[in-house]
Amino acid sequence: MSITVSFTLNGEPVSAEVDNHTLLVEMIRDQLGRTGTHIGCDTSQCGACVIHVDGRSVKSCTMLAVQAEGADVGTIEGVALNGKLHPMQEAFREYHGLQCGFCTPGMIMSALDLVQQNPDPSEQEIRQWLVGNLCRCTGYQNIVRAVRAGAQAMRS
Amino acid sequence: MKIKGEYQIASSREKVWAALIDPEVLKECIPGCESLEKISDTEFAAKVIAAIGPVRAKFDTSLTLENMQPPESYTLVGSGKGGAAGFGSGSADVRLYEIDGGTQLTYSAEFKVGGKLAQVGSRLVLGATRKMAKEFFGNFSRRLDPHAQRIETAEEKGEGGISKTWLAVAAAVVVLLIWWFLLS
Amino acid sequence: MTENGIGAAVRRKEDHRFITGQGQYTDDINRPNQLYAHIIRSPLPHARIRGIELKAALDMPGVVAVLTGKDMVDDGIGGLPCGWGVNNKDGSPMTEPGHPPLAADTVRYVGDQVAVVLADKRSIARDAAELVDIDYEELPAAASLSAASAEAAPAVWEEAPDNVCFDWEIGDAAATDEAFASAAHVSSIDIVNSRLIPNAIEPRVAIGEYDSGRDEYTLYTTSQNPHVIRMLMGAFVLSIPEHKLRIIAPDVGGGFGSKICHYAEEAIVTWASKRVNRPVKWTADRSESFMSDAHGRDHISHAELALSKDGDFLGLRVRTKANLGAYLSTFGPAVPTYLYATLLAGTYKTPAIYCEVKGMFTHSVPVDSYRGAGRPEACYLLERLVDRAARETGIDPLEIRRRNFIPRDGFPYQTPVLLEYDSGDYHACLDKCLELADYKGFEKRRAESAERGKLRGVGLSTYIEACGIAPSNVAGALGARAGLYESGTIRVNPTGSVTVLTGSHSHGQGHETTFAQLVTEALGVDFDNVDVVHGDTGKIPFGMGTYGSRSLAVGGMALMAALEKIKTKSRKIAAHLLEASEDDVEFVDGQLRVAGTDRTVSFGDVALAAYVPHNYPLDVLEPGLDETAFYDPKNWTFPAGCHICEVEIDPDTGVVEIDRFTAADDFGRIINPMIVEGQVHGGLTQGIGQALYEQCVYDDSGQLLTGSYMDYCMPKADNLPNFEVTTNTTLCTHNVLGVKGCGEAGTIGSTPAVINAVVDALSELGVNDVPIPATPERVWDAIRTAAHNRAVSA
Repeated sequence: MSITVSFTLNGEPVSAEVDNHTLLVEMIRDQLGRTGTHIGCDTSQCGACVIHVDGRSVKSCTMLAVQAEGADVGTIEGVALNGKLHPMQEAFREYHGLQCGFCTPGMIMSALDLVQQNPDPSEQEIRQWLVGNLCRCTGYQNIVRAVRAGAQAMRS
Repeated sequence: MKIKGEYQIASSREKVWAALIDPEVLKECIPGCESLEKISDTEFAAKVIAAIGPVRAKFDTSLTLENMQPPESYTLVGSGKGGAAGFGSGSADVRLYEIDGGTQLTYSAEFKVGGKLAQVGSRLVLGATRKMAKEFFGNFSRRLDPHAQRIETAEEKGEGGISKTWLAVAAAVVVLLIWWFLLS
Repeated sequence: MTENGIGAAVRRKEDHRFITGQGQYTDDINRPNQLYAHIIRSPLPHARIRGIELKAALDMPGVVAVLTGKDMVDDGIGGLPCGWGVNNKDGSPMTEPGHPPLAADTVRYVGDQVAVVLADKRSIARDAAELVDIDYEELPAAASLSAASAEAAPAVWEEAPDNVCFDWEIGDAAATDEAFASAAHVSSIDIVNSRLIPNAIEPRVAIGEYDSGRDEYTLYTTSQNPHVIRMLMGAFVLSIPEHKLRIIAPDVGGGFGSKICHYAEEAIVTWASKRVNRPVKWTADRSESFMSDAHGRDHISHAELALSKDGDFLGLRVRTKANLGAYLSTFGPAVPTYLYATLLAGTYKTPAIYCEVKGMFTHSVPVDSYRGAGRPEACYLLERLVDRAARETGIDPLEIRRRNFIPRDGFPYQTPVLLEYDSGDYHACLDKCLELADYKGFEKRRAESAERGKLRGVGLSTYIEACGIAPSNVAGALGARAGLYESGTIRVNPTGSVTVLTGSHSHGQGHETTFAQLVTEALGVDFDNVDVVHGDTGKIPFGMGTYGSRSLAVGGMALMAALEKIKTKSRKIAAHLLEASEDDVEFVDGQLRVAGTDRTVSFGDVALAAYVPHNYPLDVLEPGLDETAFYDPKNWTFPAGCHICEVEIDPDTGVVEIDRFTAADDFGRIINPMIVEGQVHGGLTQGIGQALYEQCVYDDSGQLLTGSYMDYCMPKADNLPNFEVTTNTTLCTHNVLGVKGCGEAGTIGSTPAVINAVVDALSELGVNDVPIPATPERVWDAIRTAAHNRAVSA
């Protein structure tokens, strides 16, 4: 069954025809062509698909596209504004918080939600928050440093 | 994986035996059973919806009754295919003993799962299966005897290597692959 | 050092696209009119295919085709080739069965490919796959080494009734026996090196596209080595000549060895795209990755170390069984032989070593390279054994290592197992690591832990690694069926910017940055004016790809050779422009200068002259400034180092917490310390993963039980400490930069360091071994068993 789903994506109204079983991440990648959000697993564990829905981080592989009707959806493509990197993005680059880059969009989206709720997270708080985001390359240390630095930059 | 169980049912051994091979009784008692068709006296085909953890599917199940010793014992051999969800197969030795005031039913089942069920659900299979078994035997026994008693075995008390946590998790999850204990 | 040259912690060029969601991974690519492939895989570990009923699936709207192994056979499709042949002890070749991309008559592991559904939508392909009815005759299976070696075990292959693929040996058995005969003490250990699943976070993807107008094929794939895939798939599987086959491996989301192999799905989509004349895209879901990506490790070994009364190592004897899986993967046989047993000397001057390895077929996923590939297995075995020997002889673990290290002045050092180490300073790495780890303060920390009821232990390991599998003729003599050189092109563009083409492939290593640093350093070209292109056989002349920590030591050296050619030609052009002798022209800070004068011409002007050759020595020199070099290494490179781990264990729960982890590594010259440190962090984490968390499990019937992230425990952010890492450099003696390689080192040394620490923590309770992964349950069990044993003996 085909359904039209409409929502706001990174500030722009979008809409697409989806099946009732289409996942939000599939709609974003396949129908809307925003491929910065990745799919790394099929059991909601890896976090490569983390986006924001109405301001909170969500694993977009765990939500049906139809559930996003009318929502305010944010993906990694909308984080930099007018070509200027967000401080969290800057921090990931500065602290070498990424290697292959595949988990990175999910990490950044997840980190942004953390900082929104906790503007000055401790190392332990960051590590615990990121348990739902797997990275196979970095050993997490530089990601944690990046998130701390990103949070600090966002405060100032 | 192996599981065992015992029930005391206030009903004659002949009646219990008859129920054990009655497709209508079985269909009613098997959780998730959509249909159960008698192919011959010793063969059944069932469609059962079962889920374990994240895997949920309709299983096309075939059952064969072997080593029939009416009204004392038989071996139930079954296998079920759930398409992409995987498959299960196994056998159960079921025995009926005459006791004071009724019948004691014991079962000892051995089973295995494969495909996706094994890959993503295996930790839950034993617990969920045990729960399934209890549910089936509970239904079955109460149908014959509203006051039927389940006898706790050592294994069921958690000494068989499965923790209470897992049983709790399994209980939260929906049910499982049934046919093995189907009749026991 | 120039600002962005060799040695600078330059921030990475590639990051911008990744942090803004603009990376282009294979699954981000969609081709017009493409079909989606769903691969139907065997749910059984071993079965004969009696029949496949396709009709219901074919009748489903949106389904275009369902293809089977029989279709492949009818089309004359070949098997997936094995890239390394290993010989038996008697010189006869290993048993090498076929490897059809789609099984036609027999399936041999859970996940074996049986058929492919092609449909307009992914969901349709998936649903239609459910309607394909495959009639299997189930056969007995043996997925584990022990099951496959049992008497009357089911045979994976008729041609190997005992499941032995090869029975191989290395070293001098007689000399080793003699060493044991004269030993004052012999320590022995039984080691299970657990099976791992690589788990790059990007699942594999392949898109095949056939252009009937040009009779050309393009394959987009998640590969670490696109040219190797072109060679293997073109020549052995699909019979497509190389000029008609282009392989593109764009941004790749991690490899760790698992994306070296030539996989069935690559051949299936390429072949199918011609059959249906539409592009065909296959994307693995994670569940498929677990049962179709090559697995790693999986050894069982018995090892013995002969020592003199003073603790000198006299001889080492090792017997290993290695699980190869059901089919021989691309480098499957090389990993447990030439990449494993040749490393058994470690950092020690053990004079006699003998190792025999039985490669076994089992009904499991093919086993191939996983980060370190063979070397972590060797290091884990050796360093556990050395620690045990130290404990048994009462010699301090530091002292026993120092006593047996190859001395600083002992290089070059010929080991008894093939390799000749060119350089190293193992004492210095150890000392540096001890200091950084505050080893001296350990006993105080142990006492503090004890006050809190916790058990603290410290473990160390020293490791050696051999990178860049080379030279090609040596590798060839050992069974490699390919060369192991690398190619590189430096293309100076007319306005002076530089495009680097490399046969190495970056899937997280940061080549776009590191290789640009080499160019900036050599030519003085601004860092932002250098771009690195990789991963496309249509653009890169040739390449052997990235694995075995070889990119810099081999691929980088090809670039250095090409840069040298550029410099030579530039000097000729500059000599002409400056009316000087070529011999007098030197490169200084991006300028070419007549030595001893102030007469200079900029490199940019030289480039322009090469492409606009109006004032140019056309009679003796070709126009253009574009040079390619192939580099074949003269020897392996030998990174080495020391890792120290401190753990704290809760005896009530068995939970192991890594409190400190310190690494001191010798990678030779370092181009970008930031990237190197990142590589070490990631490597350590994977080694710690093997030590404490990860394990692939099959049940007795051959079903894979760890088929998701719920069952296969990946290291997570809150499992890990902050690592302290440092380097101690000795230069490689046989490449121009003295570089060695850093990609795998962390994985190699860390597993034994962690387990030696766990055993150290538990030793006071009488525990002398803990299996990997040392999960809380296993540690708790080891504590309880030891307590029980003490009670019985008391």
